[in-house]
Formats: sequence, structure tokens, C-alpha cells
Amino acid sequence: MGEVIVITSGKGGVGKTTTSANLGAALASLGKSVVLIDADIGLRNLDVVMGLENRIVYHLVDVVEGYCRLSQALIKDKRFDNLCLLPAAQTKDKTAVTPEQMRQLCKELKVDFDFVLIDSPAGIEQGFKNAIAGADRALIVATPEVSSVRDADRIIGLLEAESMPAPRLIVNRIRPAMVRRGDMMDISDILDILAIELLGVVPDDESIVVSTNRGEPAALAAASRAGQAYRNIARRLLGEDVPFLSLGDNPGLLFRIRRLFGNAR
Amino acid sequence: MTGQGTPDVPSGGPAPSGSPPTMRSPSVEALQWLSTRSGVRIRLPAKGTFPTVLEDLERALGEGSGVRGLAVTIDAAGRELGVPQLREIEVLLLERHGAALLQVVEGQSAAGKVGGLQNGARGARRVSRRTPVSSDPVLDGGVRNGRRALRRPWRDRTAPPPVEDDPVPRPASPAAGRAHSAAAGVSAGLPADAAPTLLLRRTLRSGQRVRFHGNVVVLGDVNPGAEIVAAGDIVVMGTLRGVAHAGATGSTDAIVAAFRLQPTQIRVGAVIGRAPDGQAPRPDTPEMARLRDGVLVIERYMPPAVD
Ligand SMILES: Nc1ncnc2c1ncn2[C@@H]1O[C@H](COP(=O)(O)OP(=O)(O)O)[C@@H](O)[C@H]1O
Ligand SMILES: [Mg+2]
Repeated sequence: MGEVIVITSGKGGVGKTTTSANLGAALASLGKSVVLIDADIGLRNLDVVMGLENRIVYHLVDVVEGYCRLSQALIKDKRFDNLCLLPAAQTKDKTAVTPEQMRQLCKELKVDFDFVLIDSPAGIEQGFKNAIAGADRALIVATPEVSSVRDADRIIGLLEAESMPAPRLIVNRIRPAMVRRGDMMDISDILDILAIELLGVVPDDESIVVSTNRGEPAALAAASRAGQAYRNIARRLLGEDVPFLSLGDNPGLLFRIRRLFGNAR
Repeated sequence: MTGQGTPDVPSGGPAPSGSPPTMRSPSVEALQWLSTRSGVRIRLPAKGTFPTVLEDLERALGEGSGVRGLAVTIDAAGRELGVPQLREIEVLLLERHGAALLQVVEGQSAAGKVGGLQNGARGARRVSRRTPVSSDPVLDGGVRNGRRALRRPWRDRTAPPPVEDDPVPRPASPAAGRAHSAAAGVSAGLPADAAPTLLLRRTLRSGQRVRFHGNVVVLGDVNPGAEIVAAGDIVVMGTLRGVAHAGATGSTDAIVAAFRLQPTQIRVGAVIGRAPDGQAPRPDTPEMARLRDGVLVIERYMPPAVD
């Protein structure tokens, strides 16, 4: 039986879709069978980031409304046989799906896949509730900005009321030079407030933009720093003890993250 | 298309309008009592008028293993609750059961394990307040107390009197007589150690809000965007970054103390102090805020002398 993981944040544009695509690709490259669900109904873009847009025939809403079988809507990735995408509907809105239907869908998918990754929409409304309904655990994505951390905190508070283990944190778009200058929140500031386990830190990296436009997840590009960070996160998800990336030329950061990692409540 | 206020019902397509839903599972009908990682979550029945829901809630609270001293999350199960209805729930929790309403979620949650409270039910505890504090008043802009200069030019302003339509709920029933008189004591300026105390063993996160008619002690942090309103004192055994309002029913001798006091805003009685604009100061020692001659001052917390 596989595990259903929702990737969520509260705030939009912080990297949920990027993280879903890259974790999916990284886990698949490590031999795991993975299905990605785009739960951002009405604003789908996980298919674009994965470069699979031209293969879509059916989507999530077709499945829950019974217009097609689940297996018909799953799109096989062009790089890995063990990676699939269940795309969102572009034309419907979030109320087209209920939490109960999402729960059922996740239950079916985790029989066949090691990982079911759900890309959550922004916000705390219906779309968010759908995205978390069938999840066994959650990953929170936050950028080093006060508003992003605030929203992440709100989400963590809401998830605490669910029957799932404490979520883990991915800090995205960190810029070591800015942190050093004191112009950006550093990891310890964020962990101080959120007080959850840190799963990974992804640098702000042009290769993400390039790979997003090409539909090739950066996690598959050996030279990409952000890709390396996602590969490490995937291995940590599998229970490996992978040291944190030393970001740029800042040896201090590695040490600091390690220390905080141990202290995170 | 079902409206926002109606519960989600599993449906295989558009149902004939006006016909009663038939595929409802029993779990949607009944009130559910879930024990979560951080406390208690009560899911209201999705059907029924509000008075019957309130009755169900009252019955469940009476039968349950007790929520005294706990922060309760209410799952409205898709129902839209108005402010007066929320207040009724809040008063019921406080008045009869000594629990605080932490947050209301409108989601549909998986039916979790029904069982004992993970936090354990805790009775209201008394904290005595015999803490000697040094007592230099705050100087405008260059705040200092007996030992060292404080970093904070706290901006004071007098708040409007406690808002009438948003009062801290107070016990009114004879059943809660003792707590009632204690709460009255707080507003009358009697010692805070006569008031009931709510002990919260958790961190309050953004969007969570606790109101209590006595003192509130938090074993955890109060994050930015979270808020505590108490008729008595507020003590945070962690970092207070959110908003704390002590003496909310008018008591001017209430205090706000924290292991690390970095609040967005503190209110004591009718006085509001806010953090200075720009970089928040980071104290490295426990502190407390109180009124001295009507001015909000922040002082280093001094442990009681041993005699
Ligand atoms: N680590 C990163 N470095 C650079 N750009 C990034 C990074 N992560 C995300 N982005 C960019 O930020 C934008 C929003 O990311 P996206 O994953 O779509 O966010 P969300 O799904 O949370 O709304 C995209 O244009 C994406 O390419
Ligand atoms: Mg997205």
C-alpha cells in the first residue's frame, strides 16, 4: 500500500507545482511508482510543467463524474514508465469535486502506486479541502517571506485538526547571498515560527524557469542545483539520512540547518 | 450545483432538484468527536437546525471524557455559522465545560479515531501571582527599567472601551457559579489568582484565537496572526509573537508575560501597545507587560525571591 502526500502552502506561487513535478520525477528515477494528481482544478498546470499537456484526454473531474475509468485518465510520463499524471480539468471549478470523492480516488490509487503526490491549489477553501481529504501526510512549501510563512503557519494549524502526522517543511527559493546580507529570512527564522521538521531547502535557481518552460523537471538535470535539492528531498522521503546542501559559498548555512533540524519540535 | 452552505454529499451526478439526498452516510448525520494530534475536534452534524445541533453538542460534551482546559476545534461540516451562532458555541464550551473555542473549520474531514483525549483533560489550574517586578515607568521612546534599558519604544494609545458586541464570553449559569464570581473578580480588579485559568498545551498558530474569562497560560508559542483575549493575565511559556489582550473586561492590573515577548500588539485593559515599525526587537530574557500609571510598560521578568 502506497502513501498519499499532499503538497500545500496556503499562499500561491511559492512552488507547490514545481515541487510536485520535481519530487515525482525524482522518486520515479529512484525506482518508485508515482502518480501525480493535479488538484488545482480550473487552473491546471502540472501537466505543462511535466511536458505532458498534449497527451491529455480525460481529467480528474471526468473520473469522479464517471465519464471514464481511472486508468483511462492516467497519463504515462514520457521519461519514466513508473510515473503517471492525473490532470486537472481546465474548465470546471473546484466545487466539481467533493472531499469524499478525493478520498475514494486516493484510496484506489495507493493500491497501485508507491506514492500518490497531490498538488494542492492555493488558499484554504474548497480546493484545499479536496486536496488534503485523502492525504496520509502533508508537505508544506514556503518561501523565505513573512507572508508565505504566515500562510504556512495557518495551514499547519488547520492540518493539526486533521488526523495526520505533523507535516514537514520545504523552504523554496532561498537566496544565500541575500540571507547573508540580512535581506532575507533565514532557515532558523522560519523554523522558529513554524516549528515543524525541515525536509529540504531548495535554492532560487534559473534552471527551474528553464526546465519549467521545456516541460523537463529540473530534478532530472544533473547540473541543476535546485534539481539536486529535489533529489535529496526525495531520498529523505524514502527515509535516507541525506545531509543538507551547502548553498553557494556559505559553509555556515549547512551547519546552522543541521543544528536546527535536530531542534525542530 | 450545490450551494456553499449545503454539505457535500457523495453523488453520482446531478440529482433531481428538490429530492432529499439519499446517499448520505451515517457519519454525516451524527456529531463526531475526534481526537487529533493537538486536542479535540468536534464535528457538527451536517443536517438539522442550529438549535438541534447545539443540543447535540451539549449532549456530547456532557457524555464525553471532558474538555475542561482544552482548546476545541469545531468542524462545521460545510455549514455556514454566523457570528451569533459561533458565540453560542463559544459560550457553551466556556460556561458549562471550561474549554476554549480555538478555531472553526468548515471542512470535511476523514472520520478519525474516536477515543480518549490525547492532551488529557486538565482541570483549570490556579497560578498565583506574587512576582516582584522592578517598577520604573517606561520613558517615552527610551524605555528602561531598573536593570537595563529596554529596546522598545512602545507606542501606547488608549483603546476604545471593550467592545460591547464582542465581549469575552462569561459564565452566567448557576452551575458555573464559582467561575462566574471569579470572572467578575477579574473585572472588578480582584487578584488574578482568584480567577480560573485556562492551560493550553500547544502552540497557537496564525488564524487561531482563544478567548477566556480568566487567565490563560500557553505552554507553547503564540505565532504571528494568532490572538489571545483574556479577562485576566496571559502567560506564554514560549515566544509571544501574535496579539495578546489581558484584562479584556477592563481590569487594569492584568499582565502579559512571556518567555520571549515579541508581540505584534499587546493590550492591557483599554490600553493598546504595538511593536515599533521595522525590525522587531528580540529580547533574550523573559519579560512582562503591564500598566503603570496608565502607561503600558515592558519589564524584565524577575523570578520571585526565595525567603
Ligand atoms: N526554486 C525556484 N527557483 C526559481 N524559480 C522558481 C523556483 N520555484 C518556483 N519557481 C517559479 O515560481 C513560479 C511559481 O511556481 P509554482 O510551482 O507554479 O507555484 P505554485 O504551484 O505554488 O503556485 C513559477 O514560475 C516557477 O517557475
Ligand atoms: Mg500550482
